[in-house]
Amino acid sequence: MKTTTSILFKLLVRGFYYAHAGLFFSFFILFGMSLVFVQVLNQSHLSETEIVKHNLLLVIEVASSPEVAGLLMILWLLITIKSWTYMYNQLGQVDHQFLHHSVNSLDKKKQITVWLLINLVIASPMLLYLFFAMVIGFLYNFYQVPLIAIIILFSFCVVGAFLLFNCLHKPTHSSHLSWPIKSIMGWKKPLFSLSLYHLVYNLKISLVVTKLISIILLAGGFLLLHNADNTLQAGGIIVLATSIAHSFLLFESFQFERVYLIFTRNFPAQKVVLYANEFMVYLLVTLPESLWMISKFEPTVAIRLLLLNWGTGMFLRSLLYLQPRNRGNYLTWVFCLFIILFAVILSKLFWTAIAVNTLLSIFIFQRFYDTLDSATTN
Amino acid sequence: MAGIVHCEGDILLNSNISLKKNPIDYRKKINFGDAEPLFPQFLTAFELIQLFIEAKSGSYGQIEDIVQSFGIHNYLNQPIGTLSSGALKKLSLVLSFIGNPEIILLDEPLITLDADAQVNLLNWIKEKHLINRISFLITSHQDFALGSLPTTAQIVIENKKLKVSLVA
Repeated sequence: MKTTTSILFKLLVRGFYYAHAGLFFSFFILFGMSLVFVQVLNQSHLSETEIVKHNLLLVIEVASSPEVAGLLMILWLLITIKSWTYMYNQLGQVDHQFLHHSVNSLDKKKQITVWLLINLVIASPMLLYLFFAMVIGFLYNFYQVPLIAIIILFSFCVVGAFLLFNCLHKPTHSSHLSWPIKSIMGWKKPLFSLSLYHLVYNLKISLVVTKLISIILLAGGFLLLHNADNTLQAGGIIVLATSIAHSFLLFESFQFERVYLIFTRNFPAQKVVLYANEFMVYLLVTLPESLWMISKFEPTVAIRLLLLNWGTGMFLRSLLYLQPRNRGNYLTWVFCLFIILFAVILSKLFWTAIAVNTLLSIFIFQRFYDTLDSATTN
Repeated sequence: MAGIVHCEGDILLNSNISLKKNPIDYRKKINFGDAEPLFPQFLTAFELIQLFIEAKSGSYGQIEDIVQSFGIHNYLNQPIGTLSSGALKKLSLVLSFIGNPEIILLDEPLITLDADAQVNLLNWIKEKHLINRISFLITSHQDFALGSLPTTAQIVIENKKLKVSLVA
């Protein structure tokens, strides 16, 4: 059983975390921001304990408020469903077919235990967070809510264990598209739209969760930073976080281009058109965020935030033409870029960030677009 | 050669069209049929043909006969993901005929094709060469009935050496 767990861990859990590192990174940013940036304007009248309490506001809210804990559980349920979908798809892949006639030979109880362990490892970030909330809850006399949340989380894992057990006992998967997706599929498809269709058709859950993370970053960031002295800086940090949250979708659309759109490199198209195509994809994917920025900020601020979002997104996209070895490698670059841009925005070099991002994005695209190797020739 | 995979140096077509310096003109004149074609699974065969017609400035009329002879019209509205490997290969071959190419590169064009389709393909290659003056560069591990094609240069790679011989 130990070997089976280890193999499934390597194939599914590690893969899931690699595939969704951007998402968990965004959570980390949100959590980090709540600990570091929640500040009362004039702290002189507060004791040390009260300042710490303000910094732990997010954790205390989870521990004390059933509503906030409920929202967190809904969010985690979506991520859990995403993890089930990921594993379900992985189990259907040709190179994982051997699991259908190897893991199945284990005793039923052992199989369920293995799947439960896999689900618990996937839920470990939230479990750790809830345990932390429970410890803080004990200190402030609110421990029931996190305890109930842990029980709910455990029940998600049990359900997941049975679902995946059943999935592995089915011979084949078949994909059934829902009505809205079928309708969208009927529209005319210009070349630039193929990456969007890929997101809608093949990465539905990733798209929904990324958008959800983005909404949380926008709304949460706005709530935390709306009293900041410099609206542009605060908005810039929020926009930067949302752009980073889209890095997973950018990586996946790039992989799609390398594998399924490699034939388009034989098309006679100008580079400016190809770059504009990529920009259109990012523009449409982040359209909700753009509308939010226009509605929440003054036009002069909103325009700069939009330019920062587009510049950063296109820079993240062009970075992929430098061909990072794998997703982990790319996310390391993204992390470094986030730190640098974070510092640049805090230093009030807003236009510098926009200009450097945009120009570097265009330069890398122009210089390295033609050097791309097909994923199928590697 | 098709401008798909990066290469060092340059390729000249007709001694004056460079892959690196005139990438658009070059790609207008070279089409490619992959050995194991991969296309987005959610597109239908017809949508893919439309995409190629738009990109290569072609028309449906120029491939209508090939579509009929390969029997592709029977599954034009089916998603690529549902096609058999033979049907996908035929579609890939049809796509390589779209536009106004001077050279068509065909990588292993016979694999997964049934006997009738192989004969059809050879006939289309002959016709396109004779009528439209299109040259074909074909790589194949299978017997290609070289004698049935117009004047052909056969290039064989043996012991890391290229051997070029003319076939009458």
